[in-house]
Amino acid sequence: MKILNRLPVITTDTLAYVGDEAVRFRDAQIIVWMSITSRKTTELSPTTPRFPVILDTGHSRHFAIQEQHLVRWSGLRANSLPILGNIQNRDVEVTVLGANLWIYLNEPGRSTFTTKSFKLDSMQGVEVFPDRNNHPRLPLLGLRAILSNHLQLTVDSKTKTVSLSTPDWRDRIVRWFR
Amino acid sequence: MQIILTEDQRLLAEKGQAVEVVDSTTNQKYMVTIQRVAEPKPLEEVPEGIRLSIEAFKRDLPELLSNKKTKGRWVAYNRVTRLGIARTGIELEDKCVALGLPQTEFYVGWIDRCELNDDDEIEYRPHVDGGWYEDS
Repeated sequence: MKILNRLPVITTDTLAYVGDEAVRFRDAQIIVWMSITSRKTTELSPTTPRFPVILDTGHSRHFAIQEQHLVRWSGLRANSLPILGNIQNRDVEVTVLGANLWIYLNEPGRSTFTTKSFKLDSMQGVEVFPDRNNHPRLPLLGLRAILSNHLQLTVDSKTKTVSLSTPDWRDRIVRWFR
Repeated sequence: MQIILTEDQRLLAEKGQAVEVVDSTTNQKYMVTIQRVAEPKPLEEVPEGIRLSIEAFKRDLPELLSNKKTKGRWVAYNRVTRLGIARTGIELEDKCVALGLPQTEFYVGWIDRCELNDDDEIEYRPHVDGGWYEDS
């Protein structure tokens, strides 16, 4: 299944809107659109709020979001999700909450996202950062989410596009021989 | 430098406006605003059902990692009880929901070495000026 099909990488600073809130995408960022729901949600409603997320392979965990974005953009309250743990890092306390993550499929070769989505295995939770440091500026989808879902990520520097897919039968055979 | 505000200036600052003050030593003017620093919230407790499930998972993880059949798969626990192993965590989560387990009573873990890290680190990217890296 192709989740991101030759999605263009952002090549110039761009403004986008989440509701009526302007957010800036920057050059050389991979922007995907996602939704968060409670773990009870097994099918995504078309009315579920969606918001932009940076696909950031430099982020070593699954998914990071500021609490204010979680509340404003996903429509969820942090205290409505179960706590899976806490991470104390320097002076920042990050709460790990159990939630389901959904990533929207793009139209092939375009930055337009469809209503179809792929549910990520996100059992290890999402990291919710306190608002006071304004970090992360936009939510981050980290490398561990790609790895734990056994996804294939390809960056084509010539066309400046990114593809993300579940392995098909050919990939499985190639993996088996490795 | 000690900043002394008049009552009027204090009222303006409380309203969020910048107030001009002068350093009496250098005669340098400054604009001052109030920056409220949020108090860090105390860490919230992990529900007992999840905590016990995670402990059971961590206890079994070395053995699960050493088995080629289970490495890379997902495993679900309800407190000390292992509910199953599957190719995806979603299958297991659906199973937990179908069993009627509340969200606070189970944990689904990935059988991977990264789960061995108790000392989880989140990579920060401070900006050169000491602030937070803005891009991500």
